[in-house]
Amino acid sequence: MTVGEKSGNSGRAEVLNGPFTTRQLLRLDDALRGADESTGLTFSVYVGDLDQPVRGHAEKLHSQLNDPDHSVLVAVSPNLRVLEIVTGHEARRRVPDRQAKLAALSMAAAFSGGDLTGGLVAGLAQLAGQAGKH
Amino acid sequence: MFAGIPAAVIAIIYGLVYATSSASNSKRYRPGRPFNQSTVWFIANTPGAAIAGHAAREIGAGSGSHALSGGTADSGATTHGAHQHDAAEAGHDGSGLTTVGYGETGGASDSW
Repeated sequence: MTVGEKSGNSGRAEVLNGPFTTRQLLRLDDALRGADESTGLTFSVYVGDLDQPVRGHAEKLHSQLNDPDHSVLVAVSPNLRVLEIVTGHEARRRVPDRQAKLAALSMAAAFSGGDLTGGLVAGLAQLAGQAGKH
Repeated sequence: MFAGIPAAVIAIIYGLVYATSSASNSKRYRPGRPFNQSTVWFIANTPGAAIAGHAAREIGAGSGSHALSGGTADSGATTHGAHQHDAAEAGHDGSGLTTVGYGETGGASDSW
């Protein structure tokens, strides 16, 4: 669901001008929903520019989620060619940093081949699999 | 005839391939090339999943940025307003946002 569908504004049209096609958006939606439902955590994906320091910016974005402690943010900056995975306090217990690093590696491998959607979907599945059922 | 028909077939196939690929590749990310697409931020459409503060807010460093957000019926999932810096500052201004201080989070970083 897009913001535009909910609020009646042009958000849906705007999001279609983003980096993803409609089919890719559906894949991302499925991946996010599946990860959320299976783990009970909140997964979020940010794709866009990140300010320096990148980690600090990603943590600020993560802190804006409704329940940061139980949230996982995947922030990707295609221009800087960096990605950050931020896990909250409780989410970190479910997804240790080492496992997050493995997911980051697989995502970076896909991104280096130009596959943003595939990398994000695979990374989300990997993170959700590590977090396990709730 | 022996040259015209093959040339016509080649031209048709070239035209079909070019027409379909140019539309689908316009959004394709190519590492090393400038990425000028709008900033997007997604969360799943599950209960309780929303961005703090204004349920869900538009973020990003430009007018073209936007959020794709689920949110709940009661959260409204409305956006607009906040630019990136406003949103970033809102996390520390004590306006009711739940914040996580640096060092309390985990995760990983990578580059390609």
